[in-house]
Parts: sequence; C-alpha cells; structure tokens
Amino acid sequence: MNRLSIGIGGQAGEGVETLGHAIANLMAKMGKEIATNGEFYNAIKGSHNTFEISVSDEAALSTSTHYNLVIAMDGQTLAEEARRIVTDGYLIYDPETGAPDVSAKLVAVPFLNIAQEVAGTKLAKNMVLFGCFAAMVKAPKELLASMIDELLKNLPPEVKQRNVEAAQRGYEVASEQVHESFMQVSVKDSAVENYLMSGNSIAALAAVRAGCTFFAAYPMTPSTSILEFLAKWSNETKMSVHHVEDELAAINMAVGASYAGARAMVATSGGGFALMTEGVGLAAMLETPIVVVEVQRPGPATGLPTRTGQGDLRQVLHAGQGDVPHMVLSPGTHEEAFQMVREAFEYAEAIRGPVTVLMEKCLAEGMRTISVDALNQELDFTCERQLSNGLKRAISYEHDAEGNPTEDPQIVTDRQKSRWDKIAAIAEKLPPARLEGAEGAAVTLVCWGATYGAAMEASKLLTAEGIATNVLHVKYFRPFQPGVLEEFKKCAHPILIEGNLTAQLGGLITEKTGFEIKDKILDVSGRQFTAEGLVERIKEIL
Amino acid sequence: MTSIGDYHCNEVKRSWCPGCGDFGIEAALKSALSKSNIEPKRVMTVGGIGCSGLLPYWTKTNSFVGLHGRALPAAIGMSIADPDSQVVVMAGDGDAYGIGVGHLVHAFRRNQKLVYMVANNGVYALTKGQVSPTAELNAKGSSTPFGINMPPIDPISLALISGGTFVARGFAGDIPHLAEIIERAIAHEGFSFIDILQPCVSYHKNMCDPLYAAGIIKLEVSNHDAGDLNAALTQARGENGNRKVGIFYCKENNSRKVSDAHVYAGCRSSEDILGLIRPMRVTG
Repeated sequence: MNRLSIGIGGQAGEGVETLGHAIANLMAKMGKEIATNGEFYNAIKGSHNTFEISVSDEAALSTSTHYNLVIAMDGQTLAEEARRIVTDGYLIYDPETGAPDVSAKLVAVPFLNIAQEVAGTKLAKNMVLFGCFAAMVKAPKELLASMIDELLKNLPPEVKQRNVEAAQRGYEVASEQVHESFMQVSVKDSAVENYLMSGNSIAALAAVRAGCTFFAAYPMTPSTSILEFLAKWSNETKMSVHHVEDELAAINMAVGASYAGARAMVATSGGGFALMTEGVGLAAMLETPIVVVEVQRPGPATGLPTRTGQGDLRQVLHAGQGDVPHMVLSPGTHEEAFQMVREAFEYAEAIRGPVTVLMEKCLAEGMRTISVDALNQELDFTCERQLSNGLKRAISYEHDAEGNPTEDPQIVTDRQKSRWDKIAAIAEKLPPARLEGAEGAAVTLVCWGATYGAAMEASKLLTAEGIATNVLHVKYFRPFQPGVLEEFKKCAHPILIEGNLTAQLGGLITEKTGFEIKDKILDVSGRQFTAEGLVERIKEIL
Repeated sequence: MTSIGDYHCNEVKRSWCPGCGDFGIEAALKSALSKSNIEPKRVMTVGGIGCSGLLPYWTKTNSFVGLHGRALPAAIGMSIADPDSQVVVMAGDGDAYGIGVGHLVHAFRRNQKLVYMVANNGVYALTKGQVSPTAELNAKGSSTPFGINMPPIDPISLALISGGTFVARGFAGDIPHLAEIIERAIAHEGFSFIDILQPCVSYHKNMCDPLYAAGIIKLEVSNHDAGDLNAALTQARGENGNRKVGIFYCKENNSRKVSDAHVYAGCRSSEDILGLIRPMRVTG
C-alpha cells in the first residue's frame, strides 16, 4: 500500500488540529509525502471538526473521503467518520465515548483516563493519541518525545514531561493491541531537505524571496496566517508589516509604499477584496505595482468563513470601475504557489500595476511536503523598476504621460490603450497551457486553482480503470493563458470542474476561445474536491 | 535655503474659484516648506478628492492624488517606505471627517511622521454644495434642503481624545499664521494634524464674511499651554471652540519609533529565506 488516509474527529477546542499537525509532521519526518485538510466549523468551541491527512510515497495532491485509520476524539466521530473506514482499516477510540458499530479493527484506548491520570488534565488526550499513532507506525519513542518537546516548547518543563509520559502510555496501550505496522515506514536518514508547509506560509515566503519590503493586511479567514507569518519573520526580514484598520487602508498604504519605491503586497479573502477593489483600480491608474493575494472562501457576504471555494474568479477579474488593466492568476499546487507569488511581483513591475494571485482555503491551509529544490528554483522572468531621478507624479484623474491631468479626447484614449498594451505584452511571457496526463485521452478534466490536485489524481484513477483521462489546468486569466484554444482542439470530451455554481472559468473559456464546455461538475458545498468523489461524478456523466 | 518659487508648478492651469481659501493654504504650505528648507524632490505632496485635493497638481514636488477618503493611508505607506521624505497631505473635510474618518482615528494611534492638513469649510464644493460632516446643525445644502439634523464633528476634540501628538487649527485667511503652524508641524516627530478653516466662496459664503474673520480667536503662549492635554480639550470644547486657531496640543519628547527605510533592494537568495522556515523542516 503506498497511500493511506487518516481522519481525526473531535470537538472544537479539543486539539484536533494540533494532533493532526503532529501526525503529519511525524510522517513527514519519516520520509512520507503529506497532504492535509482541516474541516472546521466557524466556532472556537463546541462543534465537530475533522482533520484529514493523506500519507504516501509519491507526491500527495489531495486528501481522501475514505480512511485507513480514524481517530475518534468524540462520540460523533464514531457515527460519522468511522463509517468511512475502508475494509481492514483501523479505529482508535475511547470506550468512554461510546461503542463503535463499524467493521474496522478496533483499538480501544481509555485516552481520557490516561490523560487525567498521567498528565493531570483531559486536555492531554491529543498527546495520548499521538502516542497511540506513533506506536501504530512503530515510530522511535525518542522521536515522539523530541517532537512533543518541540510542540509544547512554550510550556514549563514539568508540564512537557507529563505530556511526554502521557504519550508514552498511549504508545504502550496501542502497541499491546496492534502488532503489525499500520504503514511501512522507516525514519529516513534522508539527505533530501523537505519542509511541511501550508499554502499561506508558502505565499508569505515567496513574498520575502521576491524582495517584498512592505505588507499590510486586515485579518480575514482564511488568509490571516500570511499576515501572521510575515509579522513573525519581520525582525529577520526587516519587512515593514502592518495589521491595519481595514482593507481600504491596507491596499491604499501598499499603493503609497510602492509609489515611494517599495515592493508591496496585501492579502485578504473575498470580502476584504471587495473593499479593496477601488484600490486595485487606483494602482492601475497610477501605474504603481502591487501584489494582492486573495484566498477564497464561499460567499456571498460572510458565507462560510472556514471552508473552501472558487467563487471569486469573476469578482477579481472585474474588480474596479472602468476598464482596469489588472493581471489575475492562480496556482494549482503548493510548489506553483511559491513560483507564482514570486512571478506576481515581477509581472507587477512589468505592467506597472496590480497583480492578484487567487488561492483557495484548501490550498492556503492545507499542508504539503515541499522539497528544498522547489524553493531553490529560479524564475524565467524578472523585471526591475526603472526609477527616474525626476519628480514622481501619480494622479488618479486621467492624465498625460507627464502625469498632468487632461480630458483631451485623444490623449485620454491613448492613455487607456497604453495601459492595456502592457497587459497584452505580458501575455507573450506566460507559459502556454498544456494537457497533462494520458495521450489522446477520451476525457479531459478542465479546472483552475487547487482543484488541480483532485482532478489530476482522478485522471490517474480513471486512466487506470481504462478511461484515458487528462487534465487542462488554466493558470492565467488576465491576460488569458496562451495555448488553451490549441489544447482544446485536441480534447474529445472536456468536463469542467469548478468550486462555484456559475462556471466562472467555463464562461471565460467560452469568451476567449468560442468553446462551450457542456458537461460540468460544479460544487459549492464548501468542501474540497476529492479524487474518489470526482471519479464517481465523472462516471455519472459518461 | 529653498525659495517659495522652487515649489511652484506653473505648467498646469489652476481651477480653484477666485478667492478660494485653498490659495491661502497653498501659499502657507510653500512658505513653510521653504522656511524648513526641504528640497522639492524630498517632498511628497498628497491630495484627497475634492477642490483641496487638487493642490498636488500645482506643487513642484513629488505629487500623488489617490482616492476619496484614502489619501491618509497612502501617505502613511509613503512615509513608512521612504522615511527621508517629508509627506504632506491636503485633504478635504469630506475626505478626512466623512468617508475616511476611520483612517484618521488610527493615524493618531500610529503617529507616523507626516503632516495632515484638512481644508474644513462645512461644504462639499466639487460636487456643488452638499453639507460636509462639519456643517452646523440645521445647515441647508442641496442634499439637506430642510437642514441637517445631526450636529457637526468636532475635529480638534476627536484628535485630542484619539491620542494626537500634534493638534492644531489654522485659518486660510491668515497665511503667515498658518505657515507658522505648518512649519511647526513639519518639525514635529510624529503625526501632525492641522484642521484649516477654509472659506468656500461659491457654496459657503458666510465663512467669507469679514465678520467671520474678525471672530477668529488665536491661541498663543500667553493664553494657552500647548503641552497640557486637558487645557487643549477645554479650549476645544469651550465657547467658540470652533473659531479658535493655533496649536492646541503638541506632545513634547514624542517618542516615535522610527522605521527603517524599506525601499526595494532586490530579491533575496534562497539561502536567505530557508532560515525562516527551519521549524517547518522535516527531513534533510
């Protein structure tokens, strides 16, 4: 077996995410490729949350809806996630939370009692469970202890010690019940330098790499951790990082900083971007480079703050009054996010205007194993700002080439065109779209953003079943990515997959190529696509 | 020393009404810049939207006109990114006290070094005569034909209770006095706020009345201690508080944390960034 899926269920505030991150970290340290997905209610306490971890030997692009192991921290998990355990899968549960009615191999661990008894608090149950998991993959006990030490580094030594002991008790209890290893792993003395990173930490790191010197944001789920990472790093990076009063301030401050010579970025989610749109137009009018990262969650209005979606492509494309020359792009993977956020800074300099990078909650918060090679790559395209020695004029009214206001019909027309010429020019620098996967496929999955992961894995599953399938992932929306039309001509049966209800990319493809994709899988449940879920829906279409 | 003419831009035709108070502000600003001896290329003049916001057109410095209500955050961004430049903002009372009032309160807290001038005449002139947030109770405008039923904002009190470290009011009809205030504001190590009574000859004529000018009360060393916050509040809240001009409050020994220069200095190397994510390293 080269891929396993782990699900953890529990109440908000019980440490579901902490346990999930600990397990993901442990498996990554043992040389596995990781993909994680947290499904949390928009509440600090008292709702049923889940955390999924996909563990495999080759790059993991998405998580699964079926589990090889479920860890039930609450009774509700027994009724829900435990029912999606595959044949021969395992369930770790506490007999105190209920009796499971599933056919999985049961690992009964009185983790509430152990936590209370050994650590003096039931809160330590996630550490007991971490110990149980470590036993199931036969992880060295020293590794377990050192990881807990690191995880709880802000707590007093005696508290850490009690947590380590609680984990070790969990390890012993699970070892008595499970004899074969749940997954074949060995701690790799690997020379390959790998990192376990969320999409937001990658976007933040990309900004540092790109030489961004000014960042402003107002916290908004699921984009907030970009602000948090950059703030935490600012002592070392010397980046000027600001949590400001609102998104209007964030983007206008960034435009001001860029005018004064900084490379500037802002990050937000859809609601914050809606407030920023006038500022996006300002950056375009003033010909001032800025980068915006927009991490999508379902809307409209407050919508589903902690869930994922792809409903903002049209909002971002059409941001601002008038014809706004604004570049819009979206990465499909964590590696691509690192490259494309860096690229965005270069494109912003080249078009002297705004560039927005669209991401989704599932990519922004989902963790992946990233190799150092992915972080070491050079960009194909760079652009430095041409600073003039003269006085700088930036006027939001229409203006002539010197920056002086004008309403001359010819000049205002020429100025509008000249700003759009830069967008047209940058189109030539973009990598063309290309079909990925089976040659001469019977089915092509057309998608954008992080839907790529599940689509790519679905295409492999279908191809293995004899339905040759490939993927067309569109990454650039303005200017529209070259090569889409040419690749479309090769598609026998395209199926559009998007996390919105109105086929926002589908409409854009029709507008730009004349092709209309008839079959569509559109999902606004707020949950990320999974490969198995897609295979099922694709088969219904076929 | 620079001269007033060094800041003058004659290439663009002025569009203010003859007699507009904005001319007085323009003259006072250029006089203060000259006396402060700041080279034009080290000045960033920022405008809001409205008549007053056109000032950067006619100023031979770096100039920036942004969005309505958002001149202040843009100016703060400039001042942070280029702390060697003197940023001066000319906003209107709609910019500062209406659509952009949220930024103002936080600017007092942030205390970033720049000069924020607000042309205050109680009226929206560029949109032809609606009341502004400083219009008197019951004032009539084209959008409030029966009189506005809300009392005006008191900008000086707002500034003082929000933590302003330099809070002043000037009168566009008294250029030497206003220039003196602006000069002091430029020297202040922090956020300098100047509310400026600015007569509008087209839409708020009673401010242009000689009797109005006669009613202006000057705060001087002899009648006010600008180092005393409570005294400043008493002056602002007392009788004819809205006719008083001068420096209400200036916090001496203002300990402002000076930010580094943040102008782009090139991309970083990958070795540079890997240290940041050391806690995320899992193998190797």
